[in-house]
Amino acid sequence: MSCIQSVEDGTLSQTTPIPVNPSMHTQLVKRVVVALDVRSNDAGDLVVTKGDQYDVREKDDDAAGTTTGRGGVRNLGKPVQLAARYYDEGADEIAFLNISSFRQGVIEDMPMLQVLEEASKCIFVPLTVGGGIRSYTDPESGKVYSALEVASRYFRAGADKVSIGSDAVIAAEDYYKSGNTKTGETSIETISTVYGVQAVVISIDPKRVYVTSPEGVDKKHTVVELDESQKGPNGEGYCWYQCTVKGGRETRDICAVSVAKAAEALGAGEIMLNCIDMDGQCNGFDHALMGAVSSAVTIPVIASSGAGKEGHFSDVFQKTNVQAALAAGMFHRKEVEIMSVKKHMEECKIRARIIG
Amino acid sequence: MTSSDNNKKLTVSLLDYGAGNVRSVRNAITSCGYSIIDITNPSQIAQADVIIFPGVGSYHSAMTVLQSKGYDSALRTYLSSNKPYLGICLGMQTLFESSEETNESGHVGNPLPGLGVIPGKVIKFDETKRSVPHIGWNGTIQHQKSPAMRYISEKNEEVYFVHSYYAPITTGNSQWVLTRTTYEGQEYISSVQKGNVVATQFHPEKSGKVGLNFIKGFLEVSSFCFNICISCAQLCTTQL
Repeated sequence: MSCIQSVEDGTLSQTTPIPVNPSMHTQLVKRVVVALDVRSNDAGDLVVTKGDQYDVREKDDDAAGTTTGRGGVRNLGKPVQLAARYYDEGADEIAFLNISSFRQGVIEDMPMLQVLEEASKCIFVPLTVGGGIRSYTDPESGKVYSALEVASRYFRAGADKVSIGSDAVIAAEDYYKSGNTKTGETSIETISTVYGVQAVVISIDPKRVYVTSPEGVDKKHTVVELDESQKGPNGEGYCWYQCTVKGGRETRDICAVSVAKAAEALGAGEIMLNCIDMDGQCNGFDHALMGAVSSAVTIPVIASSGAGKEGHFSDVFQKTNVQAALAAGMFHRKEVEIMSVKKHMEECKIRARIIG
Repeated sequence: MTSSDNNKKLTVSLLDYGAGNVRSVRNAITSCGYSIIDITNPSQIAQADVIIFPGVGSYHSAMTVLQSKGYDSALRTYLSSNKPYLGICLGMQTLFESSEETNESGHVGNPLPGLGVIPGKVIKFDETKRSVPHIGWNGTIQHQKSPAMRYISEKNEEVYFVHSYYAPITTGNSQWVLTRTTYEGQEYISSVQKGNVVATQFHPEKSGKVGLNFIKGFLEVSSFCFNICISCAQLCTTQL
């Protein structure tokens, strides 16, 4: 009889129905994503760093962050340790963005793979990895790895999503050049066919091109009107967003809206939308850009670049259609806590995931 | 409730057919303190104490692999014997009669049969009304109290979803519904349980501490069953 008693008390199958209220509903919450810009420092270790308009070298007069010395790479902590802290503090998603290029070594030795393997042992929210998702030639063996093979390696190490940057801009250019033809061979297509669209994030890094009026701008570019506070250095009231490649070092003749639309058509599941002008400025997200892109595509847009305080998140969620907002520096420097961002969102009637 | 600490720990049999990354599922099970044995042969299914099936890829690829390796009939027998089972995502969808997701690239076609344990068909979200896939953190509304959810608070914290297809609630399957969720006006089944068979549309391994607590609770109460089964196998067959 004692056996029967314990079955009644504790086993899995002892469920009881609850009265169901059919008028209750749930909803998707807006996500707060934390990004860690990871790169090799001059000693060869992977460190988390945060750029200022994409410059990660320490300036002589810059006192922010923990530094490795003048002119060294800003070092804000070890990637896995820091990511684990953000997981505990309620990050909805964590993105490791590798901002150092493949310089040497074989794919299997990439330090980012170890970071992912370790991170996935203690972090149980989605992990995104970006940087270097493209075809790659091993300098030692001469063997060529496709973007899909590189991505597969990251997925096996524990990534849920890969973020594609420069490659997506080139793919978008080719897509329009060929009269909107899908070749099936771009990294976006090959990866999303095998792993699903949700596994492919496109990272767009545009910068503003200020103009006094929309006239005279190539019709293929989407021109937006700027708020008074956002006007250009010579009072320009409009701009379009020119895409860059290679970490912002090279501009291309295509706008952010065009790249986003092409990426969606090719099978991307999400857009991580940065803005070089706002990056590291802590003045809030670029609402004109976020609004233009999030209304042009149906896939979720993650707002990035410019967050400096709680209100910046609530602002971008209220004023644009983005599904998520990302920050790096403000969390790294412990200026703002993740939970205080979410509490601010809830105060503004924006649903967030509150833990604990 | 008794603690499982005094009991023999069960080993989780993981059905990973190699279609994608289940590293996080493995890590989640390990972090709950259980060890894993990989199912590589249909004969292991009947001997398993508890099976976790994290479906990855498309419904078509999942069912094709299950059939070609002979796992499907072994799984049906296992499920009908009411032994502890946790299906995740596709691992839940494959419990239904069929899905519209029928070809390699995950497109809609003629329904493809599933394991047929739960009445109903898995269908695609209407893309004209909402963006598909449904990706992100969403809430759950509980339809049953379950010992598997012993560590989940009443607050119904959000869990993580990634899916384009869903199982609607019907009169035939309403008894199975453990939780339901709404995505932009569409109600669907976000988890099921009947007897010892449990499955989730959400990813507990990506749902933070709530998700880990779900796996922990499920495995802990599965251990009770497992220990009882060892000590009084006769009673077990009549009770469960």
